Amino acid sequence: MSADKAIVFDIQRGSMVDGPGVRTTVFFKGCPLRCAWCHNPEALTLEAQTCISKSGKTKTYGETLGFKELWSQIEKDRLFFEKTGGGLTLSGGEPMLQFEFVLELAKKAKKVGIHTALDTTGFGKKEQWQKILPQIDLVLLDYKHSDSELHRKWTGVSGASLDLNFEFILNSGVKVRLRCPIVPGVNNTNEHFEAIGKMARRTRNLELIEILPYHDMGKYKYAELGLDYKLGNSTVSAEDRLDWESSLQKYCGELPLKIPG
Amino acid sequence: MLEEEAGFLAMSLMLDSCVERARPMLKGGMEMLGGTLESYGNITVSDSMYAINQLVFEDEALSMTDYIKCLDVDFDGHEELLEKVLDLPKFGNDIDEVDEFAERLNLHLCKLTRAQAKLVDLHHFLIVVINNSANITLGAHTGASADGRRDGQPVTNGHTPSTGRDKSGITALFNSILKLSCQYHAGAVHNIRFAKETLKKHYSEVVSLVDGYFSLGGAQCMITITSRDELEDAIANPQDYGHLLVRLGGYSARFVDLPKEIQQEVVARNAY
Repeated sequence: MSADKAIVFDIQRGSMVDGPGVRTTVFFKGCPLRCAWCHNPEALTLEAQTCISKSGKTKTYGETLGFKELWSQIEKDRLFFEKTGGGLTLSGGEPMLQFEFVLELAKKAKKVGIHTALDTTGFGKKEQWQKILPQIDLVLLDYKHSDSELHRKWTGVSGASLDLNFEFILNSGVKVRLRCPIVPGVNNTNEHFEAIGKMARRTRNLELIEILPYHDMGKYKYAELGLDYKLGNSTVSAEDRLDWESSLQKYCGELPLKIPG
Repeated sequence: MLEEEAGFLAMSLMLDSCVERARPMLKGGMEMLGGTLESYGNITVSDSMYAINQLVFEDEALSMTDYIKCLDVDFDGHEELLEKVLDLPKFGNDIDEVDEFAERLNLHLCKLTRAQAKLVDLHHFLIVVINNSANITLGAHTGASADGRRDGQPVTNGHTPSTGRDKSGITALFNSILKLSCQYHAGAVHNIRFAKETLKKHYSEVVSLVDGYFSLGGAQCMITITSRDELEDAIANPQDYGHLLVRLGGYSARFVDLPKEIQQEVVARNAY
């Protein structure tokens, strides 16, 4: 991977769920984490993957795109970004794995005034974070588990290994939306809810705490890709959400909190 | 001919120039008379033109004669070609090469029609691309088309993409629509369906998006807001859905009163 080529597995235009306004979300392929609940398993490897879908069609996940090629796609919706207060979201996978390219993209967007959000696990080298944060308007930071060892158990990477980056991002003054996947049997505990409140209070420029309730709409992709789905049949009921809401409200108090209904 | 059937006398009485001239509106009472001509299935045609251009002229994958033979038998025994045709890009995805055919057709129809004003003895004569639900009736009498539409299926409605073929997001759809000149016709319909959930969760984004579309030159937008479940349930239990209005290209109807084929067509339309 380099500054002029990237491997992406999707580009979604007109997205309303990856930051403010109407956005174009670029999904970069490759992720160092292996979260059990991941809904984009086609994002995990850095190489393109081919599989046979249920309907018998051959599907390929992952396309190598040149910088200009990708940029021309992004630029097409510039006027809608302006009209809706939207912009570009760099997502994945973990976009920081294709750091050189992502940095160039963020710089270009900054230069022409396109709002840029980075959807990340917080993975990466500190120097990389130092370089990229000044180019980013909003970090969508995934906070998965407050217990370092359980973090390793459920994501393959210890929580402690991300701590320094979290510290750096939260202290940098960049606007942060803390995105918290809540997965039954994994992190739907009062300890974790309390930790979310604490993490949010440590954030210098917190925009929002966004709760992402677990869903199993990614499950079919595992079957297609021939991967094991480890979570079985967890579901989130309306009552669960209400429970989480009251617990989270207790720990988050006055902080801006969003739980989808 | 209309004048012979009906003189529109009551209406003429309400028009100053008719009163001044003491003539009915269609018999010299008006300074200017204009009329419109409706065209149907425009996007079916432009997507077909793109497909022909691509497969016959660019790729030389088959001859025009062979293409026509396949259409004559409704792609029967030519499933591979059908799949290939369906996989080609279609209008509504902000792809210049494809959308260009829609704009060329649009301009051609508009200008050709305008040029016939004298012939039909009118001051101006303009095209409209509204279609109500006639695209379904006309489609039922139209053989397979080169865009992969099967024999008897609806042709496209207004300037709306082929059902389910707009796959690149709402902004891409708006951008495609914005490429079609609207200053030479007397009206065109663009159907856009939003899922109810989208409006519930992202109301302000949708409002600013539609605002943006109009400020960028959008002329019209026919918005329907429904959940697919609700529509499917309405087909099964019409008695519970008397209130459900569905706007179909320029007119409003009760969903439960629509014939089944139209109901199914509405359900199949892409929702954002």
